[in-house]
Amino acid sequence: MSRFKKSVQPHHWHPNFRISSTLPDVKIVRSSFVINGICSLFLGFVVVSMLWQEYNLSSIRSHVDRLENRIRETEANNNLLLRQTDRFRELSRHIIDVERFYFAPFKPYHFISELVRLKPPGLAFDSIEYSEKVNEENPVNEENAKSFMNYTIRISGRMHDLDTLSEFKRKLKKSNLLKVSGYEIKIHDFDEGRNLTTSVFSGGINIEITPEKGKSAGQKGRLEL
Amino acid sequence: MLKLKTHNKSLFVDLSEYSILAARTSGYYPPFKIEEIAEFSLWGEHTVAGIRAFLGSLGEFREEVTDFVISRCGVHPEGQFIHFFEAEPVGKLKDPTDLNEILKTEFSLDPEENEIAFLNVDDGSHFDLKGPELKKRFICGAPTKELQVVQDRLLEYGLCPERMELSSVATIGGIADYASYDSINSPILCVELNSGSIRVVIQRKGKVEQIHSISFGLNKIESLLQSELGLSDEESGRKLLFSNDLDFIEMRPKLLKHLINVLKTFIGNYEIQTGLAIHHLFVGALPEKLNWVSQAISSSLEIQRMQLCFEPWLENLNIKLADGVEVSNLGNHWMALFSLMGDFSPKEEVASE
Repeated sequence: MSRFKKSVQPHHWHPNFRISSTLPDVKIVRSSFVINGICSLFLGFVVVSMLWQEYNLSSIRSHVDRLENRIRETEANNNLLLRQTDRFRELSRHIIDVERFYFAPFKPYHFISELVRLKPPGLAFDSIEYSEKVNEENPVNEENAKSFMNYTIRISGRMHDLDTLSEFKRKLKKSNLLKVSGYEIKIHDFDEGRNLTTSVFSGGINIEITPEKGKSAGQKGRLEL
Repeated sequence: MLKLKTHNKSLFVDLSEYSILAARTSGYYPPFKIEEIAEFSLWGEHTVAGIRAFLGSLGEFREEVTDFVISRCGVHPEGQFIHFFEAEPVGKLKDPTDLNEILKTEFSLDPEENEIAFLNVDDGSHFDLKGPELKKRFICGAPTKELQVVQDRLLEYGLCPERMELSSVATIGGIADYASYDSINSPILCVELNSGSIRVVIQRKGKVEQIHSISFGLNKIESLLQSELGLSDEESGRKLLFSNDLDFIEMRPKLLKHLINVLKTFIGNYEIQTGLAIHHLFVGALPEKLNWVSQAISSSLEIQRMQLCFEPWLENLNIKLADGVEVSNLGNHWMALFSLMGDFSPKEEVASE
């Protein structure tokens, strides 16, 4: 506070010629002190804030270091576990294949031997392919959409005439091989043309196995070959 | 550094070319008590450290927060001026432009280079342009750069002026108030003798009636003394001036002859104009050793010197003296310091406040 009081003394015969602009600051609490005080407080706040941030940063850094050390310590064990997991996954795939092989309603070797038995003379098999495909009923209406499995067996081969293929198709239709409960069987033959050099026809039979209509996907089950 | 020990201690200082008069008081605003007074002569060898030591020894000073003692100071800057102005016509002083014109044309004062105050001659109050139209005004002030020089000196001595007044103006107010207190109704001749000039003021019933400045100061008297005695340097003349050498005593009337003649003319004119005789003489500013000047003027002009009784007058101003403070033997030059303390506003105005 300034020690200069507002003069209450009447100025009769007392004009004041003090040149205030060139006088030093003699306030008990100097303006410069107040300004410096505010600046010091602000600086102190900034410094404390920075120190606090540095402390937090160093805490986070030390935490990160601890975690990295832990990662490094467990890395070898983790890698071992990952390798074991990969191996387990690979083995499980084989196990599934084996399981499917043993628990399928159609024994592959039985199916193939039946095909061979039904094959008319003059037809040579090139390949037998089996594939599965998921189809959906009402795919536009998501709430009522239902999924089901389609199975396709494609038998490719060569023959001297197309009658042989037709005979094979007829035998298949008559055979009990493809009579599976709950499934609808469609057998089509296909012609891939004739080799002009050898005069041998390429073609085959396409067998589509789809669940019968009116049965739910759950009821339709899964066809195992 | 000088520090006031307690906040209610106050310091009044009169800084003239001859001495420093100082008083420690219990406050700045009456009523207060004068606790200590002291004088430091500037006539001989002196140093800033000596002056600071003098001020430091005056009272209970100590190291505190600031480096300066807040004080009320009376000063005598070089080139200070006090003029008397009669407006013709009366309303001429209503316009600030006219005021500046008057300062330039009649007093050769540039408002840009001088600090100037306008007072009413009747009571020394500040001249208000919006106030009642008065014919007579009182113009006082000093060149800004000279005031700055004096203020810097005060700061050098460790004094920070809360107010810095012209001692001459405060003294005029003091004499006016003293005359009122002592019921002196006849005109008073006030003479202020400085190095370069003499200021003569005639007051009556608390009002300034005439002011004159004469370019005949102490320096001129020293030169006369030097030539009369054939002295080689001014310093010897100055030393002799302050001495009581018998040879010199005989020369005194001769040295003041010119001054006395000017004063006689001045007084004669006043008495013819007013029909009033001057019966009282006050010679201010001069230190004790130059009392012979006032004696010589008094005897030459046959005007009685005022015998100031400070104590009852100060009590009348609500200023009391502490035990041990003796003012009865002080010279008239102390009037300058006590005038700084006084509240000279009209008594009915004080009562209404």
